[in-house]
Amino acid sequence: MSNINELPDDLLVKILSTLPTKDAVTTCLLSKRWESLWKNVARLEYDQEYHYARRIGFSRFVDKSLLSHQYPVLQSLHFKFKTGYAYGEIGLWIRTAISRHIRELTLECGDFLIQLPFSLFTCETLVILKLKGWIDQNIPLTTSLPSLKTLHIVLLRESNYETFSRLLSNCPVLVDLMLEQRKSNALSKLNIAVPSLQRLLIRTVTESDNNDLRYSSYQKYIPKVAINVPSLKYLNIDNNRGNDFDVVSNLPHVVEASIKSNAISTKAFLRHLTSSVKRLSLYSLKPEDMDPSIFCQLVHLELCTSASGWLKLLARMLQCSLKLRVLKLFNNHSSRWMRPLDRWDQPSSVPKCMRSSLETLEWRGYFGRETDKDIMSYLLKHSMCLRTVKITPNESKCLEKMHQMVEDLASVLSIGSSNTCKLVFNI
Amino acid sequence: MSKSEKKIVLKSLDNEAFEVEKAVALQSQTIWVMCEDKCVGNEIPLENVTGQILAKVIDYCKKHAVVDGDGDESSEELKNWDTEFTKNMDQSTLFNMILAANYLNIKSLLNLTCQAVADKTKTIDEFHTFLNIENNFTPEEEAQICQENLWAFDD
Repeated sequence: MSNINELPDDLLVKILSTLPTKDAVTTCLLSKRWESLWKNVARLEYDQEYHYARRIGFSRFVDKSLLSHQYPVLQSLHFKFKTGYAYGEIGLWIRTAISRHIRELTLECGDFLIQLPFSLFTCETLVILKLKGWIDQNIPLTTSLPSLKTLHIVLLRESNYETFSRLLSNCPVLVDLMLEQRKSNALSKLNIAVPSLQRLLIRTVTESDNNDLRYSSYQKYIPKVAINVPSLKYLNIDNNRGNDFDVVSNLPHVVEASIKSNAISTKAFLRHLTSSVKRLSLYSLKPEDMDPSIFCQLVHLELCTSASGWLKLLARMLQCSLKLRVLKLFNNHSSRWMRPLDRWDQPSSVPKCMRSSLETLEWRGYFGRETDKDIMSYLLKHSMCLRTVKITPNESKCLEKMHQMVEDLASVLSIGSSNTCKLVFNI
Repeated sequence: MSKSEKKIVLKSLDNEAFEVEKAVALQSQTIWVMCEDKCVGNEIPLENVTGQILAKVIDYCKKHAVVDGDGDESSEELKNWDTEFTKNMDQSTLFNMILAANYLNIKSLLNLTCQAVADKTKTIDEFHTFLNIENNFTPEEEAQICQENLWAFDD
């Protein structure tokens, strides 16, 4: 088959559904068969930047195409607003989509206040809701989103988290929640209590890493984010400048956890994890706060090398993680920052995982100091099953030092236990 | 489960046989239903798909088969693989892939191939030339459609 016209109408509509609506509409000029095809697309996607027209042109385009659209169910509506031009009409467009039984709504807005129509918060068909911008979360008391499974929110300004907490408690089948904060770190009075939730991501992004937004000391009360999600499977906290957490529920089903937070919050989360965890990424944790029982099934471990006490932590974790296959060490600080190293006290006996399972070792931000070399040679020497070792040196190294580093590593590798190991040196 | 039960044979329109893992083949809802019904043996005839296309579909399914949870392949890598997979397909192959994905009911492959056709045709001229669509409007009809849809073309 070489001609697209041999495809049936429903597949042609499927192709048109992947196009921005602006392009899909223009196909009405192709031929008689195509004249009305676009009106049945499942997705409408409007990107203001993609329209060269001024404000009126864009608004009129959205009005007309929404009105012309014929299919009774609108699968997805996606808006990208560059400016506040179309602000007044947004409510009308969303209400139109609700009357078409919308299942997926995405709004990406710039730094202007978006008010959402109240009817959105009682929409029975909505399954996926993604919002990005400065959103007025003045959410009505009568919220009910009985079908909502995915909620992703990126907030460009501080918002009202009390009503947001209420929204969450009225989503009975929610499984996926992503909450990202920019410019501010005050997730005050946020209460995440969702019995059905399986995937949780909380991220705080500050403008610059040097501009420390952490609460200043004169603020006596630092609100904690309360977490009550007993069905959770995937946990991702990327919030080391934000709030502390108060974990209320146990987390017996979590299989994957990445916790970039301070030692106190990390401890709060770890206390509720169990041996169901298979993949774990940790930024800071005091070795004495480590509970060995949760690591026994661990397959994949990432550990930050810039937190204090990480050497002790590494040694202990290697001992407890009996099935570890992948170990990744990384340094998340800029090149000049270097924590004075403690001594590497190797475990009294070679950990079981190094004898029987550890296959992959990665080290990003490798300094090549004496202690680093000690750890490296210990790992290479005693890991019997190693297949891949990948090293990315710290960025500030000059060529000569790199060369020295490679030579050091190669000489260590030659005395290693595994005879089929591949060494990759990334520069 | 014995080893042979884990495998399944797919037979194309032109009688080419492919032995694949069941987990790979069951990404197709159509094959899944056939297996559930138990109306077929270990060999499944696929009367709408040629061997050349089926081989590609199987490549895709192998890549996307869920491997035991702890695979190191990130979703990013999978996306890149998808892009490469369709990048060099000619349009005839792409159309046949769409038909095959539709017939076999593999939703993600159908989305991928539809997107690939759309990506290659952005402007109306590209539609006419790349997709070989003949414009059967009279000049008068075309002018009228333009007039009716002025809102769509005024930038």
